Amino acid sequence: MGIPVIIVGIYLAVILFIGFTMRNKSSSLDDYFVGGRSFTLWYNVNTMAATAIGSGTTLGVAGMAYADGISAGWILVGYSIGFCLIAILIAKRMYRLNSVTMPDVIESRFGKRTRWLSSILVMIQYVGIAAAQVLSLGILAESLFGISFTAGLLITGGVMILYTVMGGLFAISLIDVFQMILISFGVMVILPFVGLKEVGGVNNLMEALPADFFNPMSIGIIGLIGILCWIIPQGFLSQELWIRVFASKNESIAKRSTLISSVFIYLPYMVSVLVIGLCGAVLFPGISADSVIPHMITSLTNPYVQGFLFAALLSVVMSTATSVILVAGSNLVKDVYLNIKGSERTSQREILFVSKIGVLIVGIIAILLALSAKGIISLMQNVATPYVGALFPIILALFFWKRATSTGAFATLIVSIIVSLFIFIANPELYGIHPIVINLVLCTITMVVFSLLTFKKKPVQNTHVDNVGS
Amino acid sequence: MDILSILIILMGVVVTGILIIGFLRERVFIKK
Repeated sequence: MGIPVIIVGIYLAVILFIGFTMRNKSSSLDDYFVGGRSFTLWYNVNTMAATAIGSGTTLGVAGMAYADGISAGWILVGYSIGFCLIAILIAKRMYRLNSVTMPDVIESRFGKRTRWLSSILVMIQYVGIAAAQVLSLGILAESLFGISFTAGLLITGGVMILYTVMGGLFAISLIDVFQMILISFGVMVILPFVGLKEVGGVNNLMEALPADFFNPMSIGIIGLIGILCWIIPQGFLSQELWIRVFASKNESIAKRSTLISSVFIYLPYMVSVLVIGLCGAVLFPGISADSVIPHMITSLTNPYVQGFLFAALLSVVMSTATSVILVAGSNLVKDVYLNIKGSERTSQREILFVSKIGVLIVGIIAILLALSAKGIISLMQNVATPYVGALFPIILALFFWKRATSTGAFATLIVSIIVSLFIFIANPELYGIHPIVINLVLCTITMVVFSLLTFKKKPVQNTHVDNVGS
Repeated sequence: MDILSILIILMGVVVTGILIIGFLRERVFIKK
Protein backbone atom coordinates (compact mmCIF):
# COMPACT_ATOMS: atom_id res chain seq x y z
CA MET A 1 0.00 0.00 0.00
CA GLY A 2 3.03 2.32 0.15
CA ILE A 3 2.99 3.98 -3.28
CA PRO A 4 -0.81 4.57 -3.52
CA VAL A 5 -0.82 6.09 -0.03
CA ILE A 6 2.06 8.43 -0.95
CA ILE A 7 0.23 9.52 -4.12
CA VAL A 8 -2.99 10.17 -2.17
CA GLY A 9 -0.94 12.05 0.45
CA ILE A 10 0.47 14.30 -2.31
CA TYR A 11 -3.08 14.76 -3.66
CA LEU A 12 -4.40 15.84 -0.23
CA ALA A 13 -1.45 18.25 0.19
CA VAL A 14 -2.12 19.78 -3.26
CA ILE A 15 -5.83 20.43 -2.63
CA LEU A 16 -5.06 21.82 0.82
CA PHE A 17 -2.49 24.14 -0.78
CA ILE A 18 -5.03 25.31 -3.38
CA GLY A 19 -7.51 26.00 -0.57
CA PHE A 20 -4.79 27.90 1.33
CA THR A 21 -4.06 30.15 -1.66
CA MET A 22 -7.74 31.11 -1.79
CA ARG A 23 -8.00 31.97 1.93
CA ASN A 24 -8.02 35.76 1.45
CA LYS A 25 -9.93 35.98 -1.82
CA SER A 26 -13.37 36.45 -0.24
CA SER A 27 -14.26 39.85 1.16
CA SER A 28 -18.05 39.53 1.40
CA LEU A 29 -20.86 37.04 1.88
CA ASP A 30 -21.39 36.93 -1.90
CA ASP A 31 -17.70 36.13 -2.43
CA TYR A 32 -17.67 33.38 0.17
CA PHE A 33 -20.88 31.57 -0.74
CA VAL A 34 -21.38 32.35 -4.45
CA GLY A 35 -17.83 33.10 -5.62
CA GLY A 36 -18.46 36.80 -6.17
CA ARG A 37 -20.84 35.85 -9.03
CA SER A 38 -17.83 35.65 -11.32
CA PHE A 39 -17.72 32.10 -12.73
CA THR A 40 -17.03 31.72 -16.44
CA LEU A 41 -18.64 29.05 -18.65
CA TRP A 42 -16.15 26.17 -18.62
CA TYR A 43 -15.01 26.87 -15.10
CA ASN A 44 -18.66 26.51 -14.05
CA VAL A 45 -19.15 23.39 -16.20
CA ASN A 46 -16.21 21.72 -14.42
CA THR A 47 -17.37 22.66 -10.94
CA MET A 48 -21.02 21.76 -11.64
CA ALA A 49 -20.08 18.35 -13.04
CA ALA A 50 -17.77 17.61 -10.11
CA THR A 51 -20.54 18.52 -7.67
CA ALA A 52 -23.26 16.53 -9.47
CA ILE A 53 -21.06 13.43 -9.59
CA GLY A 54 -21.06 11.90 -6.11
CA SER A 55 -20.42 8.59 -4.40
CA GLY A 56 -24.00 7.39 -4.97
CA THR A 57 -23.90 8.16 -8.67
CA THR A 58 -20.50 6.48 -9.06
CA LEU A 59 -19.96 3.64 -6.55
CA GLY A 60 -23.71 3.12 -6.03
CA VAL A 61 -24.72 3.07 -9.71
CA ALA A 62 -21.72 0.90 -10.70
CA GLY A 63 -22.87 -1.52 -7.98
CA MET A 64 -26.43 -1.49 -9.31
CA ALA A 65 -25.17 -2.13 -12.86
CA TYR A 66 -23.08 -4.98 -11.43
CA ALA A 67 -26.22 -6.51 -9.89
CA ASP A 68 -29.00 -5.61 -12.37
CA GLY A 69 -27.49 -4.29 -15.62
CA ILE A 70 -27.91 -1.03 -17.54
CA SER A 71 -31.34 -0.19 -16.09
CA ALA A 72 -29.31 1.31 -13.19
CA GLY A 73 -28.60 4.21 -15.55
CA TRP A 74 -32.15 5.57 -15.18
CA ILE A 75 -31.17 7.13 -11.84
CA LEU A 76 -28.54 9.25 -13.59
CA VAL A 77 -30.91 10.00 -16.47
CA GLY A 78 -33.47 11.22 -13.90
CA TYR A 79 -30.94 13.49 -12.19
CA SER A 80 -29.78 14.77 -15.57
CA ILE A 81 -33.39 15.68 -16.50
CA GLY A 82 -33.78 17.43 -13.12
CA PHE A 83 -30.59 19.45 -13.74
CA CYS A 84 -31.75 20.29 -17.29
CA LEU A 85 -35.04 21.58 -15.86
CA ILE A 86 -33.02 23.98 -13.67
CA ALA A 87 -31.27 25.24 -16.82
CA ILE A 88 -34.32 25.44 -19.08
CA LEU A 89 -37.00 26.60 -16.65
CA ILE A 90 -35.49 28.70 -13.89
CA ALA A 91 -31.73 29.36 -14.26
CA LYS A 92 -32.05 32.78 -15.93
CA ARG A 93 -34.88 34.04 -13.73
CA MET A 94 -33.23 32.69 -10.59
CA TYR A 95 -29.96 34.41 -11.51
CA ARG A 96 -31.72 37.80 -11.69
CA LEU A 97 -32.86 37.45 -8.07
CA ASN A 98 -29.26 37.91 -6.78
CA SER A 99 -29.92 35.28 -4.14
CA VAL A 100 -27.53 33.12 -2.12
CA THR A 101 -29.81 30.36 -0.79
CA MET A 102 -33.03 28.60 -1.78
CA PRO A 103 -34.96 30.21 1.14
CA ASP A 104 -33.82 33.61 -0.26
CA VAL A 105 -35.61 32.72 -3.50
CA ILE A 106 -38.70 31.57 -1.60
CA GLU A 107 -38.87 34.77 0.47
CA SER A 108 -38.74 36.91 -2.68
CA ARG A 109 -42.28 35.77 -3.50
CA PHE A 110 -43.81 34.07 -0.47
CA GLY A 111 -42.51 36.14 2.46
CA LYS A 112 -40.62 35.51 5.69
CA ARG A 113 -43.02 32.98 7.24
CA THR A 114 -42.60 30.50 4.36
CA ARG A 115 -38.87 31.23 4.24
CA TRP A 116 -38.40 30.28 7.90
CA LEU A 117 -40.23 27.00 7.66
CA SER A 118 -38.55 26.04 4.37
CA SER A 119 -35.11 26.93 5.74
CA ILE A 120 -35.59 24.48 8.63
CA LEU A 121 -36.30 21.70 6.11
CA VAL A 122 -33.39 22.75 3.90
CA MET A 123 -30.97 22.84 6.83
CA ILE A 124 -31.90 19.43 8.26
CA GLN A 125 -31.79 17.94 4.76
CA TYR A 126 -28.37 19.37 3.94
CA VAL A 127 -26.72 18.65 7.30
CA GLY A 128 -28.01 15.07 6.85
CA ILE A 129 -26.58 14.84 3.31
CA ALA A 130 -23.28 16.37 4.52
CA ALA A 131 -23.03 13.78 7.31
CA ALA A 132 -23.84 10.96 4.85
CA GLN A 133 -21.13 12.21 2.44
CA VAL A 134 -18.56 12.43 5.26
CA LEU A 135 -19.57 8.94 6.36
CA SER A 136 -19.00 7.54 2.84
CA LEU A 137 -15.63 9.34 2.76
CA GLY A 138 -14.61 7.47 5.94
CA ILE A 139 -15.83 4.14 4.57
CA LEU A 140 -13.97 4.74 1.30
CA ALA A 141 -10.71 5.72 3.06
CA GLU A 142 -11.00 2.64 5.28
CA SER A 143 -11.55 0.24 2.35
CA LEU A 144 -8.88 1.81 0.11
CA PHE A 145 -6.02 2.27 2.57
CA GLY A 146 -6.71 -0.39 5.17
CA ILE A 147 -6.65 2.17 8.00
CA SER A 148 -9.35 2.50 10.66
CA PHE A 149 -12.65 4.15 9.75
CA THR A 150 -12.10 6.89 12.35
CA ALA A 151 -8.57 7.71 11.13
CA GLY A 152 -9.67 7.71 7.47
CA LEU A 153 -12.64 9.95 8.19
CA LEU A 154 -10.68 12.41 10.34
CA ILE A 155 -7.81 12.76 7.83
CA THR A 156 -9.84 13.09 4.61
CA GLY A 157 -12.79 14.88 6.24
CA GLY A 158 -10.45 17.19 8.14
CA VAL A 159 -8.60 18.25 4.96
CA MET A 160 -11.90 18.77 3.14
CA ILE A 161 -13.46 20.92 5.86
CA LEU A 162 -10.27 22.93 6.32
CA TYR A 163 -10.11 24.09 2.70
CA THR A 164 -13.86 24.70 2.57
CA VAL A 165 -13.74 26.91 5.66
CA MET A 166 -10.62 28.77 4.45
CA GLY A 167 -11.72 29.67 0.95
CA GLY A 168 -15.49 29.17 0.58
CA LEU A 169 -16.78 28.69 -2.96
CA PHE A 170 -13.64 30.23 -4.51
CA ALA A 171 -11.55 27.41 -3.00
CA ILE A 172 -13.92 24.51 -3.53
CA SER A 173 -14.69 25.48 -7.13
CA LEU A 174 -11.02 25.66 -8.11
CA ILE A 175 -10.39 22.35 -6.34
CA ASP A 176 -13.51 20.99 -8.12
CA VAL A 177 -11.87 21.72 -11.48
CA PHE A 178 -8.74 19.82 -10.46
CA GLN A 179 -10.86 17.00 -9.02
CA MET A 180 -13.17 16.83 -12.07
CA ILE A 181 -10.18 16.28 -14.35
CA LEU A 182 -8.99 13.45 -12.07
CA ILE A 183 -12.53 12.00 -11.96
CA SER A 184 -13.14 12.08 -15.71
CA PHE A 185 -9.71 10.69 -16.60
CA GLY A 186 -9.90 8.03 -13.88
CA VAL A 187 -13.53 6.91 -14.18
CA MET A 188 -14.18 7.65 -17.87
CA VAL A 189 -10.85 6.63 -19.40
CA ILE A 190 -8.67 4.41 -17.17
CA LEU A 191 -11.33 2.22 -15.50
CA PRO A 192 -13.37 1.44 -18.69
CA PHE A 193 -10.08 0.74 -20.51
CA VAL A 194 -8.85 -1.62 -17.79
CA GLY A 195 -12.22 -3.38 -17.47
CA LEU A 196 -12.94 -3.75 -21.20
CA LYS A 197 -9.36 -4.87 -21.90
CA GLU A 198 -9.66 -7.60 -19.27
CA VAL A 199 -13.09 -8.73 -20.51
CA GLY A 200 -12.05 -8.55 -24.17
CA GLY A 201 -14.46 -5.85 -25.39
CA VAL A 202 -18.16 -5.01 -25.42
CA ASN A 203 -19.02 -8.05 -27.58
CA ASN A 204 -17.53 -10.41 -24.99
CA LEU A 205 -19.35 -8.49 -22.28
CA MET A 206 -22.69 -9.04 -24.04
CA GLU A 207 -22.00 -12.73 -24.49
CA ALA A 208 -20.95 -13.28 -20.89
CA LEU A 209 -23.92 -11.62 -19.20
CA PRO A 210 -27.67 -12.44 -19.39
CA ALA A 211 -29.59 -10.54 -22.11
CA ASP A 212 -31.73 -8.91 -19.43
CA PHE A 213 -28.65 -6.99 -18.23
CA PHE A 214 -28.75 -5.00 -21.49
CA ASN A 215 -32.47 -4.28 -21.46
CA PRO A 216 -33.00 -0.72 -20.16
CA MET A 217 -36.69 -1.50 -19.60
CA SER A 218 -36.04 -4.53 -17.39
CA ILE A 219 -37.47 -2.59 -14.44
CA GLY A 220 -40.79 -2.17 -16.32
CA ILE A 221 -42.56 1.04 -17.32
CA ILE A 222 -44.23 1.41 -13.90
CA GLY A 223 -40.88 0.97 -12.15
CA LEU A 224 -39.31 3.55 -14.48
CA ILE A 225 -42.05 6.14 -13.88
CA GLY A 226 -41.76 5.46 -10.14
CA ILE A 227 -38.02 6.21 -10.19
CA LEU A 228 -38.23 9.29 -12.42
CA CYS A 229 -41.11 10.79 -10.41
CA TRP A 230 -38.90 11.30 -7.36
CA ILE A 231 -35.41 11.50 -8.90
CA ILE A 232 -36.27 14.38 -11.30
CA PRO A 233 -37.65 16.68 -8.54
CA GLN A 234 -34.71 15.76 -6.31
CA GLY A 235 -32.25 16.75 -9.07
CA PHE A 236 -34.22 19.94 -9.70
CA LEU A 237 -33.92 20.92 -6.01
CA SER A 238 -30.15 20.33 -5.77
CA GLN A 239 -29.16 23.51 -3.98
CA GLU A 240 -25.49 22.66 -4.49
CA LEU A 241 -26.11 23.29 -8.22
CA TRP A 242 -28.28 26.35 -7.53
CA ILE A 243 -25.31 28.08 -5.89
CA ARG A 244 -23.36 27.56 -9.16
CA VAL A 245 -26.22 29.24 -11.01
CA PHE A 246 -26.01 32.18 -8.58
CA ALA A 247 -22.20 32.12 -8.94
CA SER A 248 -22.23 32.52 -12.74
CA LYS A 249 -20.90 35.67 -14.36
CA ASN A 250 -24.14 36.28 -16.24
CA GLU A 251 -27.50 34.59 -16.81
CA SER A 252 -26.49 33.07 -20.15
CA ILE A 253 -23.53 31.32 -18.49
CA ALA A 254 -25.84 30.19 -15.67
CA LYS A 255 -28.11 28.44 -18.17
CA ARG A 256 -25.50 27.08 -20.59
CA SER A 257 -23.13 25.72 -17.94
CA THR A 258 -25.96 23.83 -16.21
CA LEU A 259 -27.10 22.40 -19.53
CA ILE A 260 -23.62 21.39 -20.74
CA SER A 261 -22.63 19.73 -17.45
CA SER A 262 -25.91 17.83 -17.12
CA VAL A 263 -26.12 16.58 -20.72
CA PHE A 264 -22.64 16.46 -22.22
CA ILE A 265 -20.66 15.51 -19.09
CA TYR A 266 -23.14 13.73 -16.82
CA LEU A 267 -24.68 11.37 -19.41
CA PRO A 268 -21.35 10.19 -20.92
CA TYR A 269 -20.21 9.67 -17.31
CA MET A 270 -23.25 7.42 -16.82
CA VAL A 271 -22.19 5.26 -19.79
CA SER A 272 -18.71 4.81 -18.31
CA VAL A 273 -20.02 3.92 -14.84
CA LEU A 274 -22.42 1.35 -16.34
CA VAL A 275 -19.61 -0.22 -18.39
CA ILE A 276 -17.42 -0.46 -15.25
CA GLY A 277 -20.26 -2.16 -13.33
CA LEU A 278 -20.93 -4.63 -16.16
CA CYS A 279 -17.23 -5.47 -16.52
CA GLY A 280 -17.16 -6.07 -12.76
CA ALA A 281 -20.10 -8.47 -13.08
CA VAL A 282 -18.08 -10.58 -15.55
CA LEU A 283 -14.71 -10.34 -13.81
CA PHE A 284 -15.62 -10.50 -10.11
CA PRO A 285 -18.82 -12.49 -9.56
CA GLY A 286 -19.91 -12.87 -5.94
CA ILE A 287 -18.35 -9.73 -4.42
CA SER A 288 -20.29 -6.97 -2.62
CA ALA A 289 -21.90 -4.85 -5.39
CA ASP A 290 -20.84 -1.49 -3.90
CA SER A 291 -17.18 -2.54 -3.81
CA VAL A 292 -16.94 -3.26 -7.55
CA ILE A 293 -14.90 -0.12 -8.36
CA PRO A 294 -12.42 -0.43 -5.42
CA HIS A 295 -12.10 -4.15 -6.25
CA MET A 296 -11.38 -3.42 -9.92
CA ILE A 297 -8.74 -0.85 -8.95
CA THR A 298 -6.89 -3.07 -6.50
CA SER A 299 -7.10 -6.21 -8.70
CA LEU A 300 -6.28 -4.87 -12.16
CA THR A 301 -3.94 -1.89 -11.83
CA ASN A 302 -0.35 -1.25 -10.69
CA PRO A 303 0.37 0.75 -7.51
CA TYR A 304 0.97 4.06 -9.37
CA VAL A 305 -2.35 3.86 -11.22
CA GLN A 306 -3.99 2.71 -7.98
CA GLY A 307 -2.82 5.87 -6.23
CA PHE A 308 -4.22 8.03 -9.04
CA LEU A 309 -7.57 6.20 -9.04
CA PHE A 310 -7.86 6.33 -5.24
CA ALA A 311 -7.38 10.10 -5.48
CA ALA A 312 -10.08 10.19 -8.20
CA LEU A 313 -12.50 8.27 -5.97
CA LEU A 314 -11.81 10.57 -3.02
CA SER A 315 -12.44 13.47 -5.41
CA VAL A 316 -15.84 12.01 -6.33
CA VAL A 317 -16.95 12.18 -2.68
CA MET A 318 -15.11 15.35 -1.62
CA SER A 319 -16.31 17.53 -4.51
CA THR A 320 -19.93 16.81 -3.59
CA ALA A 321 -19.44 16.90 0.19
CA THR A 322 -17.75 20.32 0.21
CA SER A 323 -20.62 21.89 -1.74
CA VAL A 324 -23.21 20.33 0.53
CA ILE A 325 -21.36 21.61 3.63
CA LEU A 326 -21.14 25.09 2.08
CA VAL A 327 -24.88 25.06 1.29
CA ALA A 328 -25.76 24.04 4.87
CA GLY A 329 -23.36 26.71 6.16
CA SER A 330 -24.94 29.38 3.95
CA ASN A 331 -28.38 28.42 5.27
CA LEU A 332 -27.13 28.65 8.85
CA VAL A 333 -25.60 32.09 8.32
CA LYS A 334 -28.09 33.66 5.90
CA ASP A 335 -31.32 32.13 7.12
CA VAL A 336 -30.61 32.05 10.86
CA TYR A 337 -27.86 34.45 11.97
CA LEU A 338 -28.46 37.33 9.56
CA ASN A 339 -32.22 36.91 9.71
CA ILE A 340 -32.15 37.32 13.50
CA LYS A 341 -29.49 40.02 13.68
CA GLY A 342 -30.35 41.86 10.45
CA SER A 343 -27.81 42.11 7.63
CA GLU A 344 -27.93 45.95 7.72
CA ARG A 345 -26.51 45.95 11.24
CA THR A 346 -23.69 43.53 10.41
CA SER A 347 -20.35 44.56 8.86
CA GLN A 348 -18.87 42.65 5.92
CA ARG A 349 -15.96 41.61 8.11
CA GLU A 350 -18.32 40.15 10.71
CA ILE A 351 -20.44 38.43 8.02
CA LEU A 352 -17.33 36.80 6.57
CA PHE A 353 -16.13 35.66 9.98
CA VAL A 354 -19.57 34.27 10.89
CA SER A 355 -19.76 32.52 7.48
CA LYS A 356 -16.49 30.69 8.15
CA ILE A 357 -17.63 29.76 11.65
CA GLY A 358 -20.99 28.57 10.23
CA VAL A 359 -19.31 26.30 7.68
CA LEU A 360 -16.92 25.01 10.37
CA ILE A 361 -19.87 24.21 12.68
CA VAL A 362 -21.67 22.29 9.90
CA GLY A 363 -18.44 20.42 9.07
CA ILE A 364 -17.85 19.45 12.70
CA ILE A 365 -21.49 18.35 13.14
CA ALA A 366 -21.19 16.25 9.95
CA ILE A 367 -18.00 14.58 11.24
CA LEU A 368 -19.48 13.95 14.69
CA LEU A 369 -22.67 12.48 13.21
CA ALA A 370 -20.64 10.27 10.85
CA LEU A 371 -18.44 9.08 13.72
CA SER A 372 -21.07 8.40 16.31
CA ALA A 373 -24.61 8.30 15.04
CA LYS A 374 -25.20 6.49 11.75
CA GLY A 375 -28.82 5.94 12.79
CA ILE A 376 -29.41 9.70 13.05
CA ILE A 377 -27.98 10.20 9.54
CA SER A 378 -30.44 7.77 7.98
CA LEU A 379 -33.17 9.44 10.04
CA MET A 380 -32.18 12.85 8.69
CA GLN A 381 -32.19 11.51 5.14
CA ASN A 382 -35.92 10.89 5.58
CA VAL A 383 -36.22 14.68 5.41
CA ALA A 384 -35.95 14.26 1.61
CA THR A 385 -39.66 13.33 1.67
CA PRO A 386 -40.98 16.64 3.11
CA TYR A 387 -38.18 18.63 1.43
CA VAL A 388 -38.78 17.45 -2.15
CA GLY A 389 -42.54 16.98 -1.72
CA ALA A 390 -43.15 20.57 -0.61
CA LEU A 391 -40.42 22.56 -2.35
CA PHE A 392 -40.90 21.19 -5.88
CA PRO A 393 -44.47 22.54 -6.28
CA ILE A 394 -43.56 25.69 -4.31
CA ILE A 395 -40.58 26.56 -6.56
CA LEU A 396 -42.53 25.82 -9.76
CA ALA A 397 -45.49 27.92 -8.55
CA LEU A 398 -43.10 30.67 -7.47
CA PHE A 399 -41.81 31.13 -10.99
CA PHE A 400 -44.73 30.09 -13.16
CA TRP A 401 -48.07 30.59 -11.39
CA LYS A 402 -49.24 34.12 -10.74
CA ARG A 403 -52.14 32.98 -8.58
CA ALA A 404 -49.88 31.18 -6.11
CA THR A 405 -50.09 32.79 -2.68
CA SER A 406 -47.95 32.87 0.44
CA THR A 407 -50.72 31.06 2.34
CA GLY A 408 -50.74 28.33 -0.33
CA ALA A 409 -46.98 27.88 -0.03
CA PHE A 410 -47.07 27.86 3.79
CA ALA A 411 -49.96 25.34 3.83
CA THR A 412 -47.98 23.15 1.40
CA LEU A 413 -45.05 23.06 3.81
CA ILE A 414 -47.31 22.19 6.76
CA VAL A 415 -49.10 19.43 4.81
CA SER A 416 -45.76 18.08 3.61
CA ILE A 417 -44.39 17.82 7.15
CA ILE A 418 -47.59 16.17 8.46
CA VAL A 419 -47.77 13.67 5.56
CA SER A 420 -44.07 12.80 5.89
CA LEU A 421 -44.35 12.31 9.65
CA PHE A 422 -47.41 10.10 9.15
CA ILE A 423 -45.61 7.97 6.53
CA PHE A 424 -42.53 7.73 8.75
CA ILE A 425 -44.35 6.89 11.99
CA ALA A 426 -47.37 4.86 10.79
CA ASN A 427 -45.43 3.20 7.93
CA PRO A 428 -48.60 2.56 5.86
CA GLU A 429 -48.71 0.21 2.82
CA LEU A 430 -47.72 2.35 -0.19
CA TYR A 431 -48.00 -0.38 -2.86
CA GLY A 432 -44.44 0.15 -4.05
CA ILE A 433 -44.88 3.90 -4.60
CA HIS A 434 -42.02 6.03 -3.25
CA PRO A 435 -43.13 8.22 -0.27
CA ILE A 436 -41.80 11.32 -2.07
CA VAL A 437 -44.22 10.72 -4.98
CA ILE A 438 -47.24 10.45 -2.65
CA ASN A 439 -46.15 13.59 -0.80
CA LEU A 440 -45.56 15.42 -4.09
CA VAL A 441 -49.10 14.74 -5.26
CA LEU A 442 -50.68 15.82 -1.95
CA CYS A 443 -48.50 18.94 -1.74
CA THR A 444 -49.32 19.97 -5.31
CA ILE A 445 -53.04 19.64 -4.57
CA THR A 446 -52.58 21.69 -1.37
CA MET A 447 -50.66 24.40 -3.21
CA VAL A 448 -53.35 24.71 -5.88
CA VAL A 449 -56.37 24.56 -3.54
CA PHE A 450 -55.05 26.94 -0.86
CA SER A 451 -53.72 29.39 -3.43
CA LEU A 452 -57.04 29.51 -5.29
CA LEU A 453 -58.93 29.91 -1.99
CA THR A 454 -56.77 32.79 -0.79
CA PHE A 455 -55.88 34.48 -4.09
CA LYS A 456 -58.79 36.90 -4.29
CA LYS A 457 -58.55 37.93 -0.66
CA LYS A 458 -54.85 38.58 -0.73
CA PRO A 459 -53.48 38.78 -4.28
CA VAL A 460 -49.72 38.69 -4.73
CA GLN A 461 -48.77 41.55 -6.99
CA ASN A 462 -45.67 43.33 -8.07
CA THR A 463 -43.28 41.02 -6.23
CA HIS A 464 -39.59 40.85 -6.90
CA VAL A 465 -40.00 37.61 -8.87
CA ASP A 466 -42.66 39.21 -11.09
CA ASN A 467 -40.31 42.07 -11.78
CA VAL A 468 -37.48 39.87 -13.00
CA GLY A 469 -39.59 38.86 -15.99
CA SER A 470 -39.39 35.61 -17.88
CA MET B 1 -10.99 -4.82 -28.17
CA ASP B 2 -13.86 -4.07 -30.54
CA ILE B 3 -14.88 -0.75 -32.10
CA LEU B 4 -17.59 -0.07 -29.47
CA SER B 5 -15.05 -0.45 -26.66
CA ILE B 6 -12.70 1.98 -28.40
CA LEU B 7 -15.57 4.47 -28.86
CA ILE B 8 -16.48 4.26 -25.15
CA ILE B 9 -12.88 4.98 -24.12
CA LEU B 10 -12.59 7.69 -26.79
CA MET B 11 -15.72 9.33 -25.36
CA GLY B 12 -13.97 9.56 -21.98
CA VAL B 13 -10.86 11.04 -23.60
CA VAL B 14 -12.95 13.65 -25.47
CA VAL B 15 -14.90 14.68 -22.33
CA THR B 16 -11.70 14.96 -20.28
CA GLY B 17 -10.02 16.92 -23.10
CA ILE B 18 -12.95 19.33 -23.43
CA LEU B 19 -12.98 20.00 -19.67
CA ILE B 20 -9.23 20.69 -19.59
CA ILE B 21 -9.14 22.80 -22.78
CA GLY B 22 -12.26 24.77 -21.76
CA PHE B 23 -10.75 25.60 -18.39
CA LEU B 24 -7.29 26.46 -19.77
CA ARG B 25 -8.82 28.60 -22.55
CA GLU B 26 -10.71 30.73 -20.06
CA ARG B 27 -8.17 30.90 -17.27
CA VAL B 28 -4.86 30.94 -19.12
CA PHE B 29 -5.18 31.90 -22.77
CA ILE B 30 -7.95 34.51 -22.74
CA LYS B 31 -7.79 35.51 -19.09
CA LYS B 32 -9.41 38.92 -18.50
